[in-house]
Amino acid sequence: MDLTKTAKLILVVWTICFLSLPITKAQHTTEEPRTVKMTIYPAGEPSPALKYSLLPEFLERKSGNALLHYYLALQSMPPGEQVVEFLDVAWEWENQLPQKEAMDNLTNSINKYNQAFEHMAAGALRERCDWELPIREPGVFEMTIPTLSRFRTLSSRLAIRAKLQIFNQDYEAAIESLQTGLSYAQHISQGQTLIHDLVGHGITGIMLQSTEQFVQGPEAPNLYWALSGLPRPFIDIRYAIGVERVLLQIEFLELRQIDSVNLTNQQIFDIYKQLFALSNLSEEKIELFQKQLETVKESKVYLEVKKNLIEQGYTEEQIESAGALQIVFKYQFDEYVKMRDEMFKWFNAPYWQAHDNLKKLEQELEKKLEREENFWSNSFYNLLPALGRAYMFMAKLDRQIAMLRCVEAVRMYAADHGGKAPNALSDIISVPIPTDPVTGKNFTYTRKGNLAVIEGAAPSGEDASQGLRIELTIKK
Amino acid sequence: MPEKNKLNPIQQELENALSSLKPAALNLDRDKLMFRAGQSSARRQNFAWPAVAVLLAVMLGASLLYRPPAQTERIVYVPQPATPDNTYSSLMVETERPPRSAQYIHLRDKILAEGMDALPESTGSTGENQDELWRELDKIIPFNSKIKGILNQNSNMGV
Repeated sequence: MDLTKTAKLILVVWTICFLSLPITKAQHTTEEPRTVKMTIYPAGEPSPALKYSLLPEFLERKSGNALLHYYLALQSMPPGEQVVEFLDVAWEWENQLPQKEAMDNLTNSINKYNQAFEHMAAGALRERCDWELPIREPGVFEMTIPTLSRFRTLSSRLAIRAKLQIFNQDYEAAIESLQTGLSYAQHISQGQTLIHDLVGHGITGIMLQSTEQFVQGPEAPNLYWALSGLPRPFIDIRYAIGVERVLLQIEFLELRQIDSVNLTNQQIFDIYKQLFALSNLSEEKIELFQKQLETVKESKVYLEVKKNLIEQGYTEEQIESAGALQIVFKYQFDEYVKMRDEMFKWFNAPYWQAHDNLKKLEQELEKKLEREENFWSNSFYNLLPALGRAYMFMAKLDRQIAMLRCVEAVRMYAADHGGKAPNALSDIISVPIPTDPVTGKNFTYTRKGNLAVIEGAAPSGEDASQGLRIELTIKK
Repeated sequence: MPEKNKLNPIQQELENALSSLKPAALNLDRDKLMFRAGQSSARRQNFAWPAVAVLLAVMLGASLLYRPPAQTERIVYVPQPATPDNTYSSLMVETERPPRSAQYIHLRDKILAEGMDALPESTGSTGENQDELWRELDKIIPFNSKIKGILNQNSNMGV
């Protein structure tokens, strides 16, 4: 076999391996928790204890709207983003830092973002981030926030800079980058919608990956108290959940008065049609539904509601005069409101207390949707998203922070005990050990020689990949 | 007051003459005077005010007599007549509101299901620095020509 053929063969094999990498990874993650392997060095508590902070401190904060600065940062981004995006992926894939020369080139590439980083840092110091979205006006259904993905891209560039700073052991600068990134994530999540919260969650995840690298740096300062000072929950989704709760009433003003005013049949049809559009119902099916309206009186749901109303003391005449469509519509909306509040109330409880209840309700909802697969099924239910999943995302973020606190507690313990890890987390008495925000229980901790493992389980009934496992090797 | 009593003869004579005078009796009748005063005042009476008063009284009486019926504001709830079921189709054609695109809802659900990668990638700028970055990439990752092809393909697809 000549050299060209060999080269071609290697290229083909490599390409196949590269392309199959994400698939293999995905299959792997469905069975095992995400595992982070860390090599750490002992590090005692900083002096003074609160020397480091992962969010800008009060005296640094300024008044003003951060968003203006973030838009300036987007404007200042250099071209060629996709390449750097690839570098990011390649970095993760390699799971190690590139060679010195490559590092220098990467540093030069990332330095092209310096102006954007400066605007980001200026924004991160602002007290507030006001998106001024028309969130209370009809049209919220079709609202788009096209810049959100670019905001996320910008944060990944900042994370690369933090990694480079960590690599160069410039920890003070790395902490500044992390501060900017985490404040930025919080600001993005202040956009009032659940999408903003989810993007804020993603950005926080990116910055926490850099934090994972930080705590592995030789002579890296201990971030136990800096991590403990972060808000809990880091992203509070309750505001966005409040918006989600009344999304229908925002979109359809007439629904705000449904208890006192009768809607016209046209208004009712418009609302149904919008709900069908959410379910991606075809035009033909919508037309078919239109015809079904004429026979609403014979529908199963009408007959059921009518029976219920008669049992409640209404006369047949009263029911007839109200109109069959009115009755069915109001009944379905009331049922939706009841179901919605049953689910949404659990967002006022910690995730580990809410999880089982939310899961049960979501299963109940799924069954309802399966059972009622006809034109008179309650289309309002389609508007209820898998919010339990959103809550789990946020709780997992808090768990990641909590587990990093555990890692820092171990580093602190090792600094006082000749570089040895504790036999149990309860052996650490100098700082409090957090519980798992996902399960409400203590983290599992085992130690074998120099290897210590901290594990947070997946919530009950969830895939094991929703767990997190940190393997620590302590170097002296 | 010796000087006061010292009068010249003319004054003395006048004094004497005056002292000889006797006051005449008063010729006034009180009742008559009061009667005359009453008469006098009666002659000055003005009829303008009474006339105005009478006129107003008449107008008031007339307005009371011919006033319109009292208007009491009342809120009346009129039940909206139910639309007969057989007219749904015709109603829909008249004022139909097109359904909204629901982009927000779709994107929210997609992110919840697939994670952050579901966020639509905004058009990234691919300008003059592109080649320079490719060269850097050459040094870091081997076989980048193939990767470049994949990336370009993705880029064309708007990924």
